[in-house]
Amino acid sequence: MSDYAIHVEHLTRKFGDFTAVNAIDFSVETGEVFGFLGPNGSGKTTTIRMLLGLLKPTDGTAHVLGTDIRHATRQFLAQVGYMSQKFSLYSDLTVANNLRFFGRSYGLYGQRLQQRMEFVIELAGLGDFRHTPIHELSGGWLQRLALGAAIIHEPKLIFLDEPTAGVDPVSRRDFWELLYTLSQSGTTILVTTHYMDEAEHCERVGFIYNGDMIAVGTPSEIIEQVVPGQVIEVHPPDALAAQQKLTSAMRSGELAAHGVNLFGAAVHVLTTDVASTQAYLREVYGATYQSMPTLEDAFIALVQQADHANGGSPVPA
Amino acid sequence: MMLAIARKEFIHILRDRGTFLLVTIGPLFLMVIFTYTLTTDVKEAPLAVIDLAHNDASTALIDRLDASPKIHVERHLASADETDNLFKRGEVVAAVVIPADYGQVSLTRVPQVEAIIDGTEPISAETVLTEVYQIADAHSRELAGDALQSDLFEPPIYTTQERLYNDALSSKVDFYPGLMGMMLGLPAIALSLSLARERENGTLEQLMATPIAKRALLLGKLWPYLGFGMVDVYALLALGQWVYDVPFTGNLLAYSLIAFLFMFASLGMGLVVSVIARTQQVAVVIAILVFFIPPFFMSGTFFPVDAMPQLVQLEMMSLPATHFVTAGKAIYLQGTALRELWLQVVLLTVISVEMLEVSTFIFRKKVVGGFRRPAPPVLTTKENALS
Repeated sequence: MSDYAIHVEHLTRKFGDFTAVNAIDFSVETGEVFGFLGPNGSGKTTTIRMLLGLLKPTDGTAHVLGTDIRHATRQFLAQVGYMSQKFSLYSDLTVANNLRFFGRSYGLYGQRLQQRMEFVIELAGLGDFRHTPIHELSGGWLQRLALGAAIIHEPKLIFLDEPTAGVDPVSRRDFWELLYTLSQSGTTILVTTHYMDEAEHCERVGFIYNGDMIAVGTPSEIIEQVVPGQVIEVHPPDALAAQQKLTSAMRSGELAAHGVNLFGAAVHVLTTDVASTQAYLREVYGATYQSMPTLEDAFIALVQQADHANGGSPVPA
Repeated sequence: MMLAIARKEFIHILRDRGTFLLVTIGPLFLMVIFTYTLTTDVKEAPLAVIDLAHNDASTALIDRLDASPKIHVERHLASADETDNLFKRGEVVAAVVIPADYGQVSLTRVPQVEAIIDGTEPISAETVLTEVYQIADAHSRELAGDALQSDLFEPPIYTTQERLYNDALSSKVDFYPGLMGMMLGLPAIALSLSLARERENGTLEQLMATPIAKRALLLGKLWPYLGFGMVDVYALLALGQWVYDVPFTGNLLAYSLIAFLFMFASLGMGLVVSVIARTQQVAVVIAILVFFIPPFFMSGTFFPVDAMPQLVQLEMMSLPATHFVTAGKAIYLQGTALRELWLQVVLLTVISVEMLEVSTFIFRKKVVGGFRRPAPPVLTTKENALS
């Protein structure tokens, strides 16, 4: 267990009769970038709050950096960093004031505080904005500053809760560059996201859906397991109608596939029998495109399975 | 770490215009408004006169009444029948009937001056009544002395009065130290808002993930407001001394100590409010109910505490404003020594410690395990699940 930065067993949290997190198990190895994926409201934030000791679990256990989170102490908090879902910095304070404040909150002072502040400002490229009140900064800068504030005390492990939500693609890429830099210096990172392209950058990912952990593994493991074979893409004039038609063809056995998903104006057909499926589709829709399935394909398949097991409707109204 | 919080909070106060005004100009501004509007001093109260005598003596009496700064003779009536209508229209608050035999001195018959007052204007009417009584009484003694050709005429009983402190019986002097208790509630209201604001902005959750102790966080937030509060104390004292002629007679150091303890205690209550309230709206409503209204009614500023039911008196003992008004007024107006006020010092200290502990306790309880049920899950169609 000591090799794990995070080790979770049957972790459960209920709010009244609503189960936000349902007996989940997973582990994160030291130094890993772990992607915690799932739609909004699936239990990601609740899990992180429990792992930080901010929220008591209803059942189950979790050890974070060897500490039982039911007995999280201030010493424990000094070893972890947290960037919460909203950009939780003080908008009326300047960049330097925010960093100084969070540095002091983590017990840094004097020379070391100065050094760490400079390091973070350098890392986030905020040198020109040192004395700018942060409400004047745009999303990408804010996000890098928030990351900087979360790592100012050199934590061994950081939790990032949807750090890239609402940020433009270029800033998102820059942000991930930063995460890699941190990861290479040995920091363990648990990051939640609902961008599947980001998830593919993680060493391992866990899917949480309606409080259940429905898959854990490396991206390629999950794809292999959930959506084996290949994706054949077609572009019919009416994608929705085509998807319905192909789905019934698949159910009747006429089409040798195990998934038909709508992707914008395209339809993705998942199959291990590439040759016959391609022939079938080409006959109906003309040109087909072949590709490897992605995490997104896997996630859709997983969600469909979970909903099917749940009796159709994914959400109680 | 507590210092870091205090420093940050100080910058917030300086940067946020609303908070800044609330803790600086706010108390002074409200004090100016209150001292202008809240007065029980009667000036030039309108009076109706029904002169049935129409002689030199009655004219002299009317002149004297009109000359009093508290009375203005508004109307001359032929009979008392019209008085009621004037009361109903609010034109006068009292009427005086001077009998036809006024000024005729006789040992067998004493002419009676009758005063009719509007009971719905008790403060003005009672003041007028007292004034009319005193003026008529003095006038009648003069008339009697003149008639008997003697200045030896004296009534059998004569009362004199001597007033200690506040000689002019000015209500402003009486209210001022009490009003300070109310005005100094403003920093506590501002403090109540600040934690709720952090909760709304999500910065509280971020703070909870740092190793800052809960008590240090709360105390750190309290200090800057206490600093501004003390500045308000001295500003209000200066305002009283030089603008409103409410002379400070006591020991400034003793007063500062009492004011410091009071500020600490009421800011402590502000912390309790702020750990309970989820949003700023809730915080401000509770804060007004706690800091503004009870001191107004209950701290003895306007209504005597001794006359209240015992349960209410007991409840008032738990309000810092009560003790501040008692002790502050004594030092301010009477120059009472601090050792006479040890009870208030002890009580304010006890309330301070208690409030800090209570707020820390609730804060610990609430934040750990206090997050609300998250928003319901969003439908996992491709568009919103996987954007």
